[in-house]
Amino acid sequence: MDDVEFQLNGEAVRCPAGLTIAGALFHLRRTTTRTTRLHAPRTLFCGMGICCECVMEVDGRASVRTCMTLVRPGMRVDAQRGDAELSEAS
Amino acid sequence: MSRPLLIVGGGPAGMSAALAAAEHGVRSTVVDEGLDLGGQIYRKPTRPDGGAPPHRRGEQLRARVAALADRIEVRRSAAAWGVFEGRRVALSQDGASELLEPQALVLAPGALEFVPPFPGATLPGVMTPGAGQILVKTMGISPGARVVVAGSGPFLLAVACQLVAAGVHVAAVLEASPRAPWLALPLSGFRTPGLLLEGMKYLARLRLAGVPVRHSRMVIAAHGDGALREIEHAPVDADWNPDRARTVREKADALLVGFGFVPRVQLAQMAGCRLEWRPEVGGWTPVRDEHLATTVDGVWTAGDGAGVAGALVAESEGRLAGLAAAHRLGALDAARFAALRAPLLARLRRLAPIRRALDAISLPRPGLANLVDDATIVCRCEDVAWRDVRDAVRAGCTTYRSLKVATRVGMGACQGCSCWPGVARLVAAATKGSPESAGPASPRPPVRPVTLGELAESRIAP
Amino acid sequence: MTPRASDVVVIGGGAIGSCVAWLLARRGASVTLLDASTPGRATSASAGGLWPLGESLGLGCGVIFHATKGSNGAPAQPGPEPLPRRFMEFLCASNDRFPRLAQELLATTGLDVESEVGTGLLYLLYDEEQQRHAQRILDWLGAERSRVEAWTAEQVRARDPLVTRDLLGAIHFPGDNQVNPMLLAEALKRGALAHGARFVAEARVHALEMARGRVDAVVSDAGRFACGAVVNAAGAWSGQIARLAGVEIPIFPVRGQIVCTETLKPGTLRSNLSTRDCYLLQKSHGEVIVGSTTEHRGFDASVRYENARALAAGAVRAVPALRSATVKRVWAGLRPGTPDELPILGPDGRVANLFHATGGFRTGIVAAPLTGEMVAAAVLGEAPPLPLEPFLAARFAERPAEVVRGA
Repeated sequence: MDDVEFQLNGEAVRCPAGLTIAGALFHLRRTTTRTTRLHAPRTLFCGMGICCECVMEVDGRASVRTCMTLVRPGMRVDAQRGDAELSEAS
Repeated sequence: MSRPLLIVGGGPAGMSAALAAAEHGVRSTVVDEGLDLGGQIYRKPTRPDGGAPPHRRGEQLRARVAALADRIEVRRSAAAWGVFEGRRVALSQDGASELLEPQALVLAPGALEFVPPFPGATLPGVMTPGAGQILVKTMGISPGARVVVAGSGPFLLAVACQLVAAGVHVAAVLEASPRAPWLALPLSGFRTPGLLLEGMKYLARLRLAGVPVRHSRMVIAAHGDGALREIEHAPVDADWNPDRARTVREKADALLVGFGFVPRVQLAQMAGCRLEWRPEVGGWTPVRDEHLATTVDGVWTAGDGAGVAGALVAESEGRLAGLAAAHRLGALDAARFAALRAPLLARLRRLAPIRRALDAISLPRPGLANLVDDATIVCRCEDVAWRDVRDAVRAGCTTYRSLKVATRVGMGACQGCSCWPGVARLVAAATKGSPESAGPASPRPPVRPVTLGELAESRIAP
Repeated sequence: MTPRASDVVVIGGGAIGSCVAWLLARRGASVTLLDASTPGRATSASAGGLWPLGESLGLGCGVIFHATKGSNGAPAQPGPEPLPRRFMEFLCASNDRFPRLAQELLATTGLDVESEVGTGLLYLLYDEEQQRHAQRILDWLGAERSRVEAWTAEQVRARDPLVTRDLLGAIHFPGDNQVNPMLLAEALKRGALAHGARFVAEARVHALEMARGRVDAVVSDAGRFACGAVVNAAGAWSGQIARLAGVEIPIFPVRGQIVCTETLKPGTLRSNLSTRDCYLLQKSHGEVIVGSTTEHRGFDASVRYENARALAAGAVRAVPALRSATVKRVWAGLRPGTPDELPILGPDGRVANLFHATGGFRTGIVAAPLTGEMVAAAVLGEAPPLPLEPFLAARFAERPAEVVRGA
């Protein structure tokens, strides 16, 4: 199967098909998913959707659990810095 | 809600419950928040060109469920986020929520891993053994270039072997419990050789791969600047207290650390089920009668989510719960129910103690409460340090509710799932009490992520 | 009468009880504060809005209840009547005490209760009927009209850009603010401890030993406490406590439900908002709290799905961007309600050494500082800063009640 292309922190990257977003980050060795209020980096910890350390902004939506979400072509994935930010509704 | 039976959790227990009920004509819905059925132990690989071949038993169960598609509705990536009065279950799938109102509810949510707080545990590269297993088994991805597996319990060996089989460099397995009780297992009249053989296979593979399995040793700190670079470990005594005069530092960029499992009881709690403290099966568990019925009418729990006992027990419990629900729904008369459940009860009576003997060797010991220093983060979601919790305990806050209010422990998204088992032990150590007296976390809906928009637009299933 | 310096037992460790304990301990009284972590306690469920004007004008939490009450087709007033003017003054005076109290508590305990000044409360006007109702309220204010401001939709969006454009305007209460109610209670408690009070955590009170028309001792799960005076600050359970002393006070639980989001970036909401459907406030830590309901379900503090949905819909209507905010938790608390919505404070009158500090209903948190002062003064036999008469339990008796013997 073909690789999947997506955007990670504004940069175009590719990974094999069938990975979760968190899996893709480990594959790319760019693992930081979020940073805390004190700017400490965090990443995948429990791998099963409980700890919420792996949350990122996906396609403009904050606090998405990347260990539970498959990578799709064209996805926009960004590290969540501090608290979630709301996008103003159109 | 047209289906009378709702089963939350599609692992071995949930699938077995659905199959047992279906055999008597009961239509059910199985919901699982994963990408497919199988739970954690039978989690299906998602990567077509990588990962390990799926577990045979998991494939069998999935196939049997699929064969009964007219009776068993499967909803994947569907997260049950709340249970309201009267068995009303809120479910989120594809960004839309609905409220289901089944007549019978089987909760089979499984367990999560217990990781006590220690310095550096929040560094990227530190994860649970299960998380490492998921990376390698389902996606063929290595957690790191030099991996250490640490903690306690037979799961560590299984994970280390899976890593090795995938070509990952495992530098060591560090098991907190001493070696002698493990060696004594074959001599203790173990009645089921299956589990034992499995363990010995793991050990043999690890030895072949040159991976040292070191007992009475524990990781006491993880070091690195923004990511894990080194772990620090030490020998421990019988109570797992580290000897800090003899610590060793070792390079590692991935630390898979876990000390057994804790049943996930949030849904049961929200349903109003009474809990009891059973440390031998992981801590707080729903009170159940012999047919696995909880203290709430029409609600049963099965599998690791009701007490950690492994996949074989989960299957039998799932079947029993499914039969009990079928009986309750009038699809199975009392005599037939009695006849069918007898062999299941016998099997459970035989299986559970065996598994428990294995786990008892590696159950958490008090020394785990001696790893924290003032600055150690004890609640990952809210970045709460040990010093704040300790001060609150001194000011009289010794329960979940009071500590939550005073320090924000448990106020994050996971509502204490990750942190409370560890913090309760720290509180117990500080007050010379037991983790039981700190009480369980008290979850409120939603226990899975739901947005305000989704909640606002949710519907009640007709 | 002045109690022996060695014993005041305060029943209830929420904001009110802790405040009374703090003030008495500071005056050198020997205080024992009894608490129990019963589900549904109002302080820990509270959103912490300090809205003396908003609530007393009926444009805070009360308006939501009124809107749901009138929904059976009958033409209803789009809002409740204002509360008595004297009570508005009481609430404003209490609100004014927060900055200094916050400083004192910070100095004594190191805890920051997150008392915000300058937040302001905005009551959003969606339609003309609401505008007319608001105008009636403003007219009622008369000379004090200058305390509030009528804002245009543009003014609202300049202050809070995420508020809906679908708005006719708003009433702005500049003096209304917020605090963290749980930290407030915790800080007051620790302050009391610092001044020598004793705190007993899991001490559910199940009996009061009576003799000669007085309470001699408080009997709880955690032991028996002899007392010179008892302060009943047990919130929704105050009626039960009073009954243990053989007297009745009309306290009943009124359930209120809350929906709380994940922590959001600071400044997501700058004002506290109140609408016909719900109120919303962003707390110091970043969560947006959406409330509330007014339900009579006895002591059942469980949450109801339909309420959560309605509150979420109200929030999204007021601030559309909140649509994508993750809900972190839904909970409910039990407010101590009274028939006239005013608290019950001061001497019971029938049992010589029993004092009440309860009935805070929707305004318990904002009323806490002044309530504490008034009840502490009563216990010490001193003149309270404001008259206690409007708040005495005696107002509910048609004639002086006799002490009822037995429980």
